Amino acid sequence: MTMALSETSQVFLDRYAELRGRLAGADLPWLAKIREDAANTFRVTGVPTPRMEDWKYTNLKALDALELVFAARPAEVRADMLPAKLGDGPRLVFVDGRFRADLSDSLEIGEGIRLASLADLLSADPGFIEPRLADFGDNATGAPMLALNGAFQEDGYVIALDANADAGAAIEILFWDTAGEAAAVRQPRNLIVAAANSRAEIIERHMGAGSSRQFFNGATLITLDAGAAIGHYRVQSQGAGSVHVNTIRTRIEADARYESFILAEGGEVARDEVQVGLMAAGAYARLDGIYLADGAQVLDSTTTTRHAAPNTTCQETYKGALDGTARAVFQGAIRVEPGADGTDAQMSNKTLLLSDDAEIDTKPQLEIYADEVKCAHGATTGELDAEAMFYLRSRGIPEVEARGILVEGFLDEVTEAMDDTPFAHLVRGHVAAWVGRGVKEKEMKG
Amino acid sequence: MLEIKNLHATVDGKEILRGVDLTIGDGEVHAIMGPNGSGKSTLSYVIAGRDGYAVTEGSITFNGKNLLEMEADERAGEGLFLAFQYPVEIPGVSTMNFLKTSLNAVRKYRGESELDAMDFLKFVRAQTKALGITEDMLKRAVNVGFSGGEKKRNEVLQMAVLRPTLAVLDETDSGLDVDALRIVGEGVTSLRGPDRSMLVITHYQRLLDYIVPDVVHVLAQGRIVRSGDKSLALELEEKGYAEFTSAAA
Repeated sequence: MTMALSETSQVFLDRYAELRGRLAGADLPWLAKIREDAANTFRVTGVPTPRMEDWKYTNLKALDALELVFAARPAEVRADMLPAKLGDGPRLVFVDGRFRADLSDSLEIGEGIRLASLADLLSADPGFIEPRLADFGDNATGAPMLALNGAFQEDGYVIALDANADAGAAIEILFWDTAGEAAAVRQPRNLIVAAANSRAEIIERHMGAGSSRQFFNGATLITLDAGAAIGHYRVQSQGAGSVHVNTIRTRIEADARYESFILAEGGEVARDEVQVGLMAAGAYARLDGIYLADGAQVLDSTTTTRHAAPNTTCQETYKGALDGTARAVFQGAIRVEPGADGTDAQMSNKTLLLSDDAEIDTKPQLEIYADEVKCAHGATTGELDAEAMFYLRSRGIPEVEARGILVEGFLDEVTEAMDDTPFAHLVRGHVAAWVGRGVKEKEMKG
Repeated sequence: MLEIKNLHATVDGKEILRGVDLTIGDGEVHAIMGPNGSGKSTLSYVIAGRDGYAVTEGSITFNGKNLLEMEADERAGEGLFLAFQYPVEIPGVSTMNFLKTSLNAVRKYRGESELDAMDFLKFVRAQTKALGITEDMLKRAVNVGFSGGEKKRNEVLQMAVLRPTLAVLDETDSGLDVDALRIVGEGVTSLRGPDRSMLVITHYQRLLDYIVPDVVHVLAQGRIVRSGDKSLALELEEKGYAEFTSAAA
């Protein structure tokens, strides 16, 4: 197959050819080969276009308009310029895609728990990293953004838990972007390795100073051995002009539990994609998300769940509110393999449209090859309830606040399932700030 | 307090109110009775400022201000309160939070300081007791899963919290059994005062046993066709509305 590569795709390949000898770990032959293979996979299709089924609703052509800057520029960032830590746990800070040990905090949290940067481990302990990166599947066709990440991979976070290790307080990962004229390219590659019966909660925040713009193309590989439990909670609030693509691949073994949550509100075009494999009996995944979009934003939530063993469970709830001419995409694929009897798969997507021009494209996709399966999916789209609006306003609550109350109430189904954790507070704070954004504008004008 | 003059209003182009005249003085309780379709609920919605009702003629003056120029929330700020015939369910919003937001919005409008969580809790607890409203009810989402009686008690609670100068009660007795009717009736009556007027809209006389009106009006075919003292309510209970519906037609 020959396909003319877009100009932007060619820019990536040219920069790869130029930079490959200088990337972290360039001297490791196995890593050089992974990168080279990934670059070759990317070369087949280039940046995905709406002609690819998986990218039908989300167009990355916004990338063409960005002036992409690859070289890491040293940023003057002090700890007091960063958002406050969320809790008592450790924090790993990445500034413009680079790990900053000087800004990170309490990384030694106990026996059997390793928190580090990928770049550091590539020099300190490449033997630990090699089998895990090799396992990533960068060369799978149909995943060009993962392949692009694979070609440029050199830094990211690594969280490795030995058997029975318990990380305790949530581990915070902060990806902080500094402001710049052009769009900085960040392609972190992260690893979460949870050995049998280990547990950790990880909070990932993607944000930037002021008018920061980025092309963020991250990838995270997660493995949960039998009985492990990982909570993986993310807030994506990158700068308004950013393009954000994040791909997460999780393998879940027997009786292990993976809980994912994404609050997406940033960027011009953003996609959060979670692919989970439920590999052995008792494997459990919960995938939840909230998307909040305004202006001309496009926010995409894509999930792929593969039930590869009997008695596996996945529960999925995504809800969002859209204003202006914003558009959201929800793609939820569930595949139940032959023999995966006792599968329980529940998927729900609900969207509140706050303007006539907002739009949701929702695409459930079920492939079921087993007989005894409980599968349910539902999608609804609605507008604000006029009766409820009048009720609130008749109680003295002005229009913008009343809308906010109804939006928060609508999203409560997702947030109330969260325990009273620092992350739950963070999410509620983001939701409240988003619904209140009109009030602030109004007061400033008034 | 409230002065309605020659009020005409349409819904979807159809004239429902055809020249209502009504004056309510400070501290007075007026009842409006009338057959179904006479325009009772339309009158309450027009007073409260609901969208979809077009006033084509006439005026409503509330404490000297033109009510028809105000949004629904501004009317609430000015001291108007509508107890709904069918209180609306709002999933995901706790009753407590709703009450607090509402009270503080009204206080802000009136130029008063907002109450913090502690002061508010104390204030609300004092109101809930008499109405038989439990803490559990306050934690539940607004009206979601509430019984008919609980919903109406919740309306009275909101009235007690917001302390309006004019309360319009739209068919507050509908859907209530005898016990609930008594609790709601006594709750409303306890809120009577020299600075608080009420407009009680009802189809039946029974609510007026608890909320005894100073004046009773009959609304038929979009107009007030007769006014009298509380004995008029008893007369209507006995004779029905037949004379008004046929006379006006």
